Amino acid sequence: MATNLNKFKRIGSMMFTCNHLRRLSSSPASSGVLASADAQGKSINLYTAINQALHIALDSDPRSYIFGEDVGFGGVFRCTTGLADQFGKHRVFNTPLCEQGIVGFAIGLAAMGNRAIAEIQFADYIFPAFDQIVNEAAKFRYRSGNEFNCGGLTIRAPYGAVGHGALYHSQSPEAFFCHVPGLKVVIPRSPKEAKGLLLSSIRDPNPVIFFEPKGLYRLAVEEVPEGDYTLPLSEAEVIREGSDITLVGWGAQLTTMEQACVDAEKEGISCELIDLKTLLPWDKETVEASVRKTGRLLISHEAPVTGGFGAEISASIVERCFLRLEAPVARVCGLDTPFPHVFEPFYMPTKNKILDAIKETVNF
Amino acid sequence: MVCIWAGDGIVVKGQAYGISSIRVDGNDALAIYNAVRNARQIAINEQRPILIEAMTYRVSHHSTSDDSTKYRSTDEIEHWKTMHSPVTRFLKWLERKGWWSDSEEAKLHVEAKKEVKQAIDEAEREEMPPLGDMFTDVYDELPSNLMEQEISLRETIQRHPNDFPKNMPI
Repeated sequence: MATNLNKFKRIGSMMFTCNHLRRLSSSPASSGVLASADAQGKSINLYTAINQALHIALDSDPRSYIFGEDVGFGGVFRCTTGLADQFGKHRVFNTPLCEQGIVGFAIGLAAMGNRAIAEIQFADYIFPAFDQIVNEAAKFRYRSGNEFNCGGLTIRAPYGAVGHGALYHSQSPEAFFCHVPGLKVVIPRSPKEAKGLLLSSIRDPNPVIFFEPKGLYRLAVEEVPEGDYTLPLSEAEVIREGSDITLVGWGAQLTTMEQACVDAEKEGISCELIDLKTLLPWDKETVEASVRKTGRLLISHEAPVTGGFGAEISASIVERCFLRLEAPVARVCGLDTPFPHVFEPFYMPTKNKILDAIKETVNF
Repeated sequence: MVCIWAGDGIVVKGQAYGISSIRVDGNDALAIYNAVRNARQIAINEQRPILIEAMTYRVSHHSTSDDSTKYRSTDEIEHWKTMHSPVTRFLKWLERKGWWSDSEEAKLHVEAKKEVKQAIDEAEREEMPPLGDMFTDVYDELPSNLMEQEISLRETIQRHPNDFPKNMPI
């Protein structure tokens, strides 16, 4: 990786060709499948898996940098623990409390051929950086006719409900970014997924927004390979096979959906559950194939239902599977209110809301 | 910390925008009073803005989920708590003037504690807000999507009453 980076060619004074960046961004690890040597991993939680991925990113590429509010201390969710000590404060450092500045700086760093891994402390606070992300990062390649790009950019941000986060520590803003050509949007569901998808995101030659389900940081524990591995972007995964209805979700919501699938099975309904993983660009083919089999579709996310990414999935699948569908596409999502504090249990797309919608769709 | 504080605070930025600015010891009640009083006079009499940068220190943790000893020494916290506490400094000044005493201080503490406890007790007895409050105040008037969602939610609650908090008026 380092050698490749040193070979980085300059055209004119500070221009880089896309091809070189593409080569730079290829992963040193096997892509897609977990190497068998890695199969025995330790049981770790999600924030530790993120920490491992960041460790590997810094270790495998001397031109990678991690920065954001408090990341030098390990970050508020401990994801960057120990990294500044090991890799130095010139590669892992705190920034001022200014999201627009964090992302603006990250874009410049990435445009100069570095791997910029920026942390926004909460997804709720990504909005001050919205202009930098939408008008600068996402259009960098396009507006320069591929002469420049900021593909080395990855923005990590914890998202989602935790039970007491209220208006500004609970939101799921993924749909805003799914409306932006040039970005990739990735959300993992578990520790193993988080590590592999984060390494893919960091090494992907496009700017990636990586939302981490903060409710799972400590809660989700599974065996994670210790070494370097990546999981493919824009590939959904059928995590539970079934024949009566297809359920599509991502991140923390999959846990709730899985419970609904288990309960539905007790009532004789066979559910297929798909983890979309990458929301932009998303894997329509996997969802389409599943809906062609089941004839029914339910989408669930925490973000408000109106204008949520479920709407895009619904529209696309209706376009592709109109004659195969046996019921309207169901959406079980957050409500169209700001994320509430004491009303959170009512706002959430709960297991029984999903179960009711499964039954309604199957009995349509 | 150096990387965050590479600049010299915010007072210089006021000057950059042509705003008269003052840096003041934020832990000195009298200094703050004088700075704000003078700034207010300028603002009112001359109709122009003033920036006050009050230098201070957060002694407590950031929140109930923060353990600030992870990123700063307990000695540092203790130093600010004991040597620079604005409350203690103001108290000492009052005592030296002969306007305040230990017994008055003790009495005030007891009264304040009682008052806070009473307020907490009252707040805890207060009924939780009704479910409808979840949907109001998103807009001045309830739009149709929220009306539909409220109806749908109430149906869900009827089907699954055990899924939801019992202490809220539905």
